[in-house]
Amino acid sequence: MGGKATRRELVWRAGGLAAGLSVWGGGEALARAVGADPQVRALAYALQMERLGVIVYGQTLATNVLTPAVRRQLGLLAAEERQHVGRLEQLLAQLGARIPSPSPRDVAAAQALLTRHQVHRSITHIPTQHDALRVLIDVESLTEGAYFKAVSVLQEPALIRAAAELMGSDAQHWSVLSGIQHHGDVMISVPYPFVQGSS
Amino acid sequence: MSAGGDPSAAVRAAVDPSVGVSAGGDLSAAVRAGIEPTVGVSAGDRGEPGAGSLAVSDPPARRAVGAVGPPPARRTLSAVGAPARRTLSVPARSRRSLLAGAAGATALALAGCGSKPLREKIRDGAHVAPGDLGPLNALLDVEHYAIAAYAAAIPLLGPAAARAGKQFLAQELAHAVELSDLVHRAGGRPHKPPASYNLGHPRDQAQALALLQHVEDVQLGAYLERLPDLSGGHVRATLVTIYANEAQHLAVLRMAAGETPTSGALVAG
Repeated sequence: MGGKATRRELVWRAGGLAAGLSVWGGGEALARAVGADPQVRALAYALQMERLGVIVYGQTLATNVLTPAVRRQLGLLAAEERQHVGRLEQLLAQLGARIPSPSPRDVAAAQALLTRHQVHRSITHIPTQHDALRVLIDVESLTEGAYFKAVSVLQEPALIRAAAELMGSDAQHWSVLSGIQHHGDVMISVPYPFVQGSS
Repeated sequence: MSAGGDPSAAVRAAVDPSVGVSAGGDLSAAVRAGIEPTVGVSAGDRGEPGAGSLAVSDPPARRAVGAVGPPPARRTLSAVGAPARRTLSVPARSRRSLLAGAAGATALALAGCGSKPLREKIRDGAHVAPGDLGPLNALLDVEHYAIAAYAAAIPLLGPAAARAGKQFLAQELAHAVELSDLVHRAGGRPHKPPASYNLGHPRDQAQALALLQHVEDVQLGAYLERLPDLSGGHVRATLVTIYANEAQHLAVLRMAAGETPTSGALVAG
């Protein structure tokens, strides 16, 4: 264990450090945009992830790789993602916070944001339904993670409940997508008793 | 169902003395007793944890069952002091294998997966305030209710739904263990399950699924109500991971019942 690190280990560590700094940098930018209130920051971060979700759902629905049934289901989930965005904007407004300008603003920014969060899947080239579902599952994991963090920071009871309601919905999306991906195998679509997403 | 009421009161109110299911003892203890140390999981890739290889040795059924008392030849989900008594007979083997399987799956869930870092976080750093005891035990009551409902409903389900039911039962057991741990950390004693619950008279898969949807709704309502009462952010974060899992259960149960998986953009119980 105490020996020299291999080249692969060094490259791996460097990659992790770069990714960490990148995500941290993004967080700082978000903090500058929305202010220092931890509640506002937590909700603004969740809003950013939900907006990312809306863009990624849009990208997958714009492809011709989906079966009609899956397209219909993704359309329903996308509509719920848009409602999540609206709900978060409403919560931020209730806190008296300035609603951050749409970020990610476009597909390129969404792709960059995914990369910052270690999701290395293209949203401009989606060759199969499998790829579409994979990237959506990753995005739902990110939104779950945003709410998981938010719940420990939020203080207002109404905000805590709202974050839980939104997280529950995204957890359902995750299971629906994973269920489609794995032919309804519940061992994979609901694998863990504790859902905390990713960051 | 009452989303806004006291969850333990909701469960108590749901108890009909005329019909019940024998809870059969402390299932959390059964899980702990049944945890097989050789159980392991290697997680798959990001966002697809189940894609990894799963290695589970058969859990020691004898130990798990022993923890809930020796089963009779046929365990009956029977009336408790009922004038008009109805019984729902369940083969003993089903119940035994259910508990054993659930214990194994719970061990799997607790041994690895995404839960471990969270549990370590709670153990290492989180303070659980004595004031959290009430909400935590109230949620434990609701988990016991769910465990009893799944144990009763699974024999009525077809193979695919039963597989889901067993998976969810194992997860409910894991929730109960987690809540019990938190209660201990707060310096309290975890509530034991009551002797019986009113679970209605489900006779087929449709009715069993309706019961389980109701149970999940009750749970979601209880968690949503209690979350803001908890003093620590870590404890709230732990409980919201359970809430999200219950929401997943509900989505799968809705699909099994032929409904759309989600009923709206917010999951409120």
